[in-house]
Amino acid sequence: MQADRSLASFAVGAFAPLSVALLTLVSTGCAARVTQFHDFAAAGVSYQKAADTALDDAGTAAIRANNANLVKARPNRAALPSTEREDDVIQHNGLLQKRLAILRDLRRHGRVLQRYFQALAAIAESKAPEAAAAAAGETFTALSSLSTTLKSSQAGAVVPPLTKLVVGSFKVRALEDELKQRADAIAAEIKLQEVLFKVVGDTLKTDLRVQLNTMETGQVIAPFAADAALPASWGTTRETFLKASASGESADAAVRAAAAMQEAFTALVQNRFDRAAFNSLLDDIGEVLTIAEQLAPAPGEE
Amino acid sequence: MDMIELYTRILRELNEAVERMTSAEFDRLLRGATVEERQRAARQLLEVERARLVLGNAVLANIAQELKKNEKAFEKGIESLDAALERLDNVAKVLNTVSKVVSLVGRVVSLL
Repeated sequence: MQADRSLASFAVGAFAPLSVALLTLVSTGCAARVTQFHDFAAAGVSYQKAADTALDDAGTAAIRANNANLVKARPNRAALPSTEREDDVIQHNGLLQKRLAILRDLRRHGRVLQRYFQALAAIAESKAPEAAAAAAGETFTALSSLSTTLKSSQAGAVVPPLTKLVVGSFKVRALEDELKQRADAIAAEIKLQEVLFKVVGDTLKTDLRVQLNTMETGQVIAPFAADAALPASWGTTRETFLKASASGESADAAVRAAAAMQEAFTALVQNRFDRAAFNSLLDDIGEVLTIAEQLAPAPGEE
Repeated sequence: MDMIELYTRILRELNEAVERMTSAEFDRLLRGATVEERQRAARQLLEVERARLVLGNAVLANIAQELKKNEKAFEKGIESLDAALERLDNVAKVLNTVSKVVSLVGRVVSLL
């Protein structure tokens, strides 16, 4: 019996270095997959935050452009009965209220998507495998004090990594299963997001252009062409107009970010979503926020 | 999706029209126009703006409706991921408890 124990102890001891090496190899693969999920989930959360900002900006820009158009048309509507001018505002108010309600609905939907990405990230970021490995290591030490066989074996070196790997595999499996089950919904969602931001981006760009056009004609050209002295703020206003119009093209950023999410999702499914792709995706998402910076000063507010 | 694509194309035309109608060049043209022409231009600007809003709302509402169809799947996904996370945490908790019990047993055994 004692001989059997020695043999078992020897077997465990001999196996330990090899198994640790194998476990390291397998767990590196697991870790890489978890990193892919983590990065995709993190990008998803960032994307949704940027998308939320873009949708909020879209509402503000629509109101500002509509204000500009109503004010521009008003002098040439002066000959009409006041009820017609009232109708102009009432009709446009109703349409803008509807627009804001739709945008609110889209933002609410975005929050569901964000919670989904956060749930994915919570699993990828879970410290359960490490905690389980530490607990398994402590159990082994405690058991060792009861058993001379365990005390002399090197199995203790194997138990925590093995536990970490088993629990880690469970983590990867949970994420893989989720990806498989929800693949169609995720793919459809991202494709629709791309279409949504194409429309929002185009409209936002026009709303921004209308505001800038109004700024140019009313606050840059008209005062300069008039005989009266130029307002003190003329130079600053012109500078704001020129700088804003130069960077107006970045409204396409949201579309690029949605397209990049689509690519990232395909890469994740094919197990090839790497850090470089992740960084590039974050760059695309970050660009969306530049739209917000451009929309910050409304024409005439400078 | 076909409807969205068609509306999007028309919306793009309307966006271009409103951009042209508010441009400095168009403004200059209008300054040389008759009162009637200016009034007609003002009416058309408001009509184009109104059409932009109506069409934009239709496209966005349609996309929002399509997106909503995915929500059940995502809600289910959140539930399933939360459950998986709980199971993961439970493994660590169970091992932790076992470790504490074994350690206690070890101390009791050493006293015997």
